[in-house]
Amino acid sequence: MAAALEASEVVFNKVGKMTVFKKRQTVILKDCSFKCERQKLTVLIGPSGCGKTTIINLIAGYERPDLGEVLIDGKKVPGPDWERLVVFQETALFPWLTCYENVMFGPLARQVMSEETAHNLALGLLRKVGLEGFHDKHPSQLSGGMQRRAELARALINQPKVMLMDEPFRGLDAMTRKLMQEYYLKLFEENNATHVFVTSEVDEAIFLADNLMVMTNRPSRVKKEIQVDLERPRDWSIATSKRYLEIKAEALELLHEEALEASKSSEKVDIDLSGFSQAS
Amino acid sequence: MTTAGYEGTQDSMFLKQLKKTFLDWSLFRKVMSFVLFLVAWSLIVIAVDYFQQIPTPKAVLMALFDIPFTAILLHIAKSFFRVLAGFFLGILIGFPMGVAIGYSRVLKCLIFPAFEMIRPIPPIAWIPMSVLFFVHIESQIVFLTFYGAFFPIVYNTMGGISEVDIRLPRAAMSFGLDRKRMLMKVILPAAMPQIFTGMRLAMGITWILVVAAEMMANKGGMGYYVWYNHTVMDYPHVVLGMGIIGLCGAICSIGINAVGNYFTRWRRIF
Amino acid sequence: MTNPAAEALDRDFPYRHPTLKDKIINQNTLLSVISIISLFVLWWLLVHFRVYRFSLLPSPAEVLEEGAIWVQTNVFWFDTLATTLRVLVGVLAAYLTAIPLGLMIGWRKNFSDLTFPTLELLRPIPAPAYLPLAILLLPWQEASVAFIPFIDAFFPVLLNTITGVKLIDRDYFRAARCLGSSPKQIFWHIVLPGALPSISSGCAIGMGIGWMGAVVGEMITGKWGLGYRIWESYTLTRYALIVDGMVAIGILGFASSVLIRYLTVKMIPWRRAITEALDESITQ
Repeated sequence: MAAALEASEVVFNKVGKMTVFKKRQTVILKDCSFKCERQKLTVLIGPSGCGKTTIINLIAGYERPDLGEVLIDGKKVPGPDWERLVVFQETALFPWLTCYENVMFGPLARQVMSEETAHNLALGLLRKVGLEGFHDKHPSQLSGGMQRRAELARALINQPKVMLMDEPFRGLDAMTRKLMQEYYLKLFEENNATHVFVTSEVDEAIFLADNLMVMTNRPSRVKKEIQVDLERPRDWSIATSKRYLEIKAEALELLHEEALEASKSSEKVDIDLSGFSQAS
Repeated sequence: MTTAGYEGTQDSMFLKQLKKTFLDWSLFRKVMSFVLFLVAWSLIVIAVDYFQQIPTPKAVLMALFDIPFTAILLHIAKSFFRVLAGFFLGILIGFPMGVAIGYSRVLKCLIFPAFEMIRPIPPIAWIPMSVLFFVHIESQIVFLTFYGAFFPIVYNTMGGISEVDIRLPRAAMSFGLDRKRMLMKVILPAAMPQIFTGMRLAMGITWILVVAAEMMANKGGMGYYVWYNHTVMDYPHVVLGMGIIGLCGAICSIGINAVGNYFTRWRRIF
Repeated sequence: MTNPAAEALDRDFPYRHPTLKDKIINQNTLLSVISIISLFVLWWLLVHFRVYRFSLLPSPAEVLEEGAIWVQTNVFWFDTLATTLRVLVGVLAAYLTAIPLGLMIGWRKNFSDLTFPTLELLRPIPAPAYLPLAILLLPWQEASVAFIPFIDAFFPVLLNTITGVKLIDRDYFRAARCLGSSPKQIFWHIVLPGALPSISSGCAIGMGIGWMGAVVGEMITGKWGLGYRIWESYTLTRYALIVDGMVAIGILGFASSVLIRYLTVKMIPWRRAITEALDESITQ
């Protein structure tokens, strides 16, 4: 199946990860195992600080697991690669390049297609994400939502096998966020890659997911995997369907448990530390 | 519109516009600032009369018409030459060094501690060493300006490079950029604002050093001009010299700012 | 409840990930030591082998010898005292004038309009250029030499103070007005404390620049002080003392910067993070 070759399967096998933050060793992931199926949208949801960004970093290849292994199509993650691209929480667009130049960055860096092909693809993608006419603007001239869309375009043009989204819609106002989620779903449905999405918003998680993984507190592992068997294509009208509400109730209860435990322990559950871990 | 409370809106709006154009209080005060300055200056002259040598504003103005035109231009040129030579030398040597130190941890540990030991020594204190080591006075002075420019450039370049948001090079790595190209295409552009801060600082310091050095050496330049007039007690020309030096320094600052803004124009857009 | 992280650590991670701290400290410290040592070795080699004109410079051995003798003379301590006093007086004068001025300029636009343009006009003039005027204006030789550190430190402190006031969140002012504060209260309880982080970083920068300036004055027209001593050593061809003087000034300057930073951090316990962040503020 040609389609399957374009998408990778991500497997976490009893992964453990430790980090040193402010001279204190913290275990972020412990015995974490899960599987992201090909061409499916897996969503990771959990309390803040539970290492979701670390998981993204491990899949992308920016960090290595201390214990266990992270397997892509059965092989260990070699390092950062165009096959696994990340869309970050706060925009990581190159501020000195225009929108268009940002999107062209990947193809030009890898030089795998002719410049003309890349150019056409870039313009096509920009049109698809609705940024037509903005291609000569710098990121500082775009609104938050537009920046995220530009980042999506920048990643998609490289046709990665795994798309990693690290709370990409955080910080956007509610309306923009809903619109972005619909945009993103549309893109996902047309795209053949495996998507891994990280969020801390329950509604967003259920709306997007094929598989929903609820994470525990630090040291994290998958608390429960919920199959979101709502029909695709989806729009926000499913938010009142019975099945949706069932899933939401279950997810909320699991998260509530974790939150209670976190508030009891002496450890302060604050911002996601894994973003600050010192790269070795 | 004649709703209650809005009556006469048209008139007062017009009046407001009028007032804004002609009666800008803020601008007025700014002009008064200079007037006050001149007044205060004159008062000081009257009050402090040890030798009655302090020139009044008027005396300085008179001296303006009195300056030896070509001689002054020569002095200015000499000062500019020394400043720019030292400054560009500082960039030539300091910039690559800053990049190397910022990029490679090994190099940083090898070079940085030595720098930190030398840095507290004020540039002026190097004058005797410079005089010993260099034969020509010009090279002595240029060494000084170079030294003054060197440290801000190195430190700010190093800072700029090591403080680039780590997600940018990570994204670049994912897109398939190798380390060498990453430096040119990602890290340097991201570090530009900080690098130019260093250059601005360096420019300021070079002017201070040039003036001091020229006051001690006897080889022309605006600093020499000021000191010479001091020794012959021609104070209006001293003040004039100060003003000219200030002007030159300001021109250089504006120049550097303009160049810096050009290279970081993606930031100014908003 | 014992630390769950520590328990997990012992149980599940028998192989201790070499703490980044251990690794870094060992390798880096070694390199740093090599760096400093090689500096001296290089110096010694250059002088010893008479590379180019390095033969005219004193060697490390001479410098140490002469330095040891010099430090024990009275002249040394007198010079040190003189220079230190000049710098301190100048820089403190700068603090005392620039900080109130800066606070007022940052706070009240009227005042800013009246004074700031003039100051901006005077700012590009380098400190040494003020020396002739200083000699005229101030009766004592000492004071005129201290004028240069004063001017050197004045503008950085001023600019940082102004920035500090401008950075205060406008909401604090609004809250104070709601609560019915008088302008005087606003000044003492909002403007001044709010600007302190910037002021402290400006003070540290001013102190550093002030030290640069002290030597200038002493070299050009001094009778005593470390700067003067350096110049005199040159004219008397006692070259080793030049380097000793330079080192002395360097150490003193460094110590005073450290002291100022320490004091300012002590003064502002509530905003340490912001102080560190503002340490990079532009001053010139």
